[in-house]
Amino acid sequence: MSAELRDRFFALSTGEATGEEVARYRAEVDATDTEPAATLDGLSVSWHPTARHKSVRFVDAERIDADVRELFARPSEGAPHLAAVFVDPRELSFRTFENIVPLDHLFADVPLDLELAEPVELGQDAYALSLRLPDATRAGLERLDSLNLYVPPLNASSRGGERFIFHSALLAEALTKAVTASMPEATLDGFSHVNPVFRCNRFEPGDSNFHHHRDTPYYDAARGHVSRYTVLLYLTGGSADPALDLVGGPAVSEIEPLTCVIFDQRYEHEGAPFRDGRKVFLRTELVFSEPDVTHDPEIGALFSKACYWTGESVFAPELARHADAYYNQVAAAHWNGLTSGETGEPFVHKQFRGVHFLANGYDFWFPKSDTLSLAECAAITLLDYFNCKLGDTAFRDLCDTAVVEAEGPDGTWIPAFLNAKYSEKSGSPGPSDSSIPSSSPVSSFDKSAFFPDGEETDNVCCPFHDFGRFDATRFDEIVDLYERAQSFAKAHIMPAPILMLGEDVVLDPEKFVIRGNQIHILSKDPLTPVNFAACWNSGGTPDNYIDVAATVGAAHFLVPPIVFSESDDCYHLQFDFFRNTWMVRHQQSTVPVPMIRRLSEIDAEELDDEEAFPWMDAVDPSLVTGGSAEPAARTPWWADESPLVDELYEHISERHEFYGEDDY
Amino acid sequence: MEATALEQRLREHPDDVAAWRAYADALHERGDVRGKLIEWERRSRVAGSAEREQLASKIQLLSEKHQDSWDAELPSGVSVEARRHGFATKVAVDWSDEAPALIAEALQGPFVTALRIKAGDDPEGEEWGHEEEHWDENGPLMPPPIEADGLASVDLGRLSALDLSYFRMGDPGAEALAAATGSGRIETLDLRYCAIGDSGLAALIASPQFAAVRRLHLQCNAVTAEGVRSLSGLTNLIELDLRYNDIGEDGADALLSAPFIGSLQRLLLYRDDVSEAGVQKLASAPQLPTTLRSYWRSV
Repeated sequence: MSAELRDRFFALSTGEATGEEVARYRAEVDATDTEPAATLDGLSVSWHPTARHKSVRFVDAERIDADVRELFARPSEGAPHLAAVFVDPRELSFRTFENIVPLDHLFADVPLDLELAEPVELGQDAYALSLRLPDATRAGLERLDSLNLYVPPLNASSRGGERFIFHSALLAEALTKAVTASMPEATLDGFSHVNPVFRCNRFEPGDSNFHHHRDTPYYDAARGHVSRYTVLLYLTGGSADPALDLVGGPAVSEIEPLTCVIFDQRYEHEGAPFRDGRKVFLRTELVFSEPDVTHDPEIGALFSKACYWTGESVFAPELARHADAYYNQVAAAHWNGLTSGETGEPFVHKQFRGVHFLANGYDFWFPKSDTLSLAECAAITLLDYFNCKLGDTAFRDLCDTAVVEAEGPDGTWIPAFLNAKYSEKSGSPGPSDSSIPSSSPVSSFDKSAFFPDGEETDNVCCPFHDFGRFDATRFDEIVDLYERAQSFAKAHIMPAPILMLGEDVVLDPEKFVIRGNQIHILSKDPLTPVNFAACWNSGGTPDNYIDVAATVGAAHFLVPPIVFSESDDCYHLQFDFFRNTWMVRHQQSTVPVPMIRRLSEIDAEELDDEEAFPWMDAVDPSLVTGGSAEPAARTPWWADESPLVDELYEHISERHEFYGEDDY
Repeated sequence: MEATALEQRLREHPDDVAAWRAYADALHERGDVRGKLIEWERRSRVAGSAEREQLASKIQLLSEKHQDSWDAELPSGVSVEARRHGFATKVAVDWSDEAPALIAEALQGPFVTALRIKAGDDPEGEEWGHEEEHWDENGPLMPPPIEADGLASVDLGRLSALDLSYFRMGDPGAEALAAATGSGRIETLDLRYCAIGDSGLAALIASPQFAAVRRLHLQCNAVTAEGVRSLSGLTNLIELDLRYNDIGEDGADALLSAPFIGSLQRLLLYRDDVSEAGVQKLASAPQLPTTLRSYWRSV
């Protein structure tokens, strides 16, 4: 039944289904609430639509667990390496909103000899060029439209048509060469490269325009990169009145196929579908090196808010227009400085397990109380901003949320607002006045509780020779392996500022360091190396004795310091995550904590394969990176290399061999 | 303050910096180089890395030169397990008939506040499993306890930590230890792998010598739910390790009813020790501190 549900999604997506068929299908999907099949990039994914998992995206199939991979459809004949996964939009965060599809596969065997010829200056800092390319290359580009990867954009209210986003370093490299060879030299002063992230847009006649807007510049302060020009590469030709309108500049009504329009990103512009025929075009940017590019925190604040409202609009669609307004304000501010934007800034009031807070995606306010520390406020904000998973549920799903409009021109109304909300719910005067202690939903936790020391080893030779005295918990080879397994688990648990224990969230207070007016979230712990050291004739092998004591979700963050201020009533935290975009990372991992299980020699000999290696089998293969077996694979940024990785590689490979990759 | 008074002060307040400084002066006066050691180790804690390296080297050289003479202050048969500023703070004795007398002498050391009693010779334990009578239909039997009646004559003095880890004294040994004398200051008691059952544990907990225990290691004994109930006498308990004892769901209930449960900071147990039902109870127990409860939600 689920395979049928999966396949009907793609059949109905062709646009040929009747309204009744679609409605009936939607009802069936809404009645389907099965568990997800895997986790990818922190998102739970299903191989068919469910009541929760309704948003389709395309990923490299190799990234899906081998034991469930074949359940996922490969709907794109032209890109068979891509699998379709269904995600829950409520789990999305700013890092996962956009589905960037890897498409270098498509261009690997295509000759990418591109030339941009006959540049025509349409107006100030706006050019049109003809793309000259071999037939095979042209066919490769035109194939993009037939890959069936289009999805409606998140901001469908302001833009029509469909689009998908893909990454191709090969195509970007070819275009970089072509641009360098053809554009005026003065225009290319400081030019670095064409952005390898492309948007492929499709408009049918009659679709809505993409209303007037400025493109949000690409910005990487750490590398000193910023985009200056938008590149539109039209794969089809047609006409409209106009097809592309650069406000205050040229308008283009007739577009030939394979025309490339390059214009300064200062231009506000609008695109319209062709009168006849499909309009298909790629959009990317020309990126420049500007070492003097400075970061304006106010622009960063607006961008943070824009991204936040995009995510919140999944729950409250009315917030989408605010996101659009902020994106446009940011885009304009990049060139002209910041001007005042719309009035009536929105906020969301949230309650998470008794903690009230107010947020706008850049500012987060918490009422001060004896039971809520600054570190806990920072932790809740990270959980909210990145929409972390607690157990199987996304953080935002666990909050009671209401959109509120500002009650004044500045933030002075906020402490009283939060105090009042607290009183409403608890019946007590307010968190700072309450005489009833309440516990924080994010309490401190001592992670060393997961890692009791191994016992002093005895002088037993082995289970066979000293059967009467054999105690697994004191046998040297087992204790050695236990300590190495601890070392591996510690590499992933100790650096995490936040842990998920079932649906409980706990924090490591030592990872939240407060200096002056900043909260630093520490992301890495140096790993203490475990120095280690066989007469095994029977009684299984040491890894039979290492079991799982507990399973811990570890949330890792690589973020700049959080700035805060405080008044008598409130903590006010500010997150400018986009100051250093490349530094902003979040990932959750699930880590099994090892223990030694007491088995007799006979028990160990009689274990069946499913229960023979409990801890080794519980380790997520995606955490087994680095090591000598895979020199090109990078250890996760939070984990120093663990000495156990090679052994885990071997174990995983042997299991694959024994069971066959599809069964393991 | 006289040296003796300082020593008492430092036994009770081992982190009193001013007292250590005064004691260092007293040691200087009588030509004891450990005064210099105190000064160097104190400086090392606040020095930059270059100076810290130099001090570490000097400390090591001084210690190597004098360690044997310092340890000779203790009776023969007593080894040093931990030191502070060159003085023994934890000593170890192999159990024998002479052990109580050795212990009495060793505890005269000015800063000895921790004692470990080791099994010593255990020929029966070493050869266990090689005879038919060591087995039954279920597998190897436990070897008999090491004879330790003499523990009743031990004076625990001013000890704050007693370590009998891996000393297979069994219930008879525990009952003998319960009769030992002392000043009742023991805060850390390590009884892991001692083959103690419920009756031995109950006897120990009933002894005034152990009423002040805050940290208790009981892993790998023969404690059941009944033994857990006897722990209720330890009202100051903050750390408890009960791993590898089959206490079951009843044992989880007994823990949750104990007077110390709300102030426990560390509780070490595994799923198999308390059963799945016990795990569920611990994961939802309002009387368990939040962080301990959260741990059980990940089991």
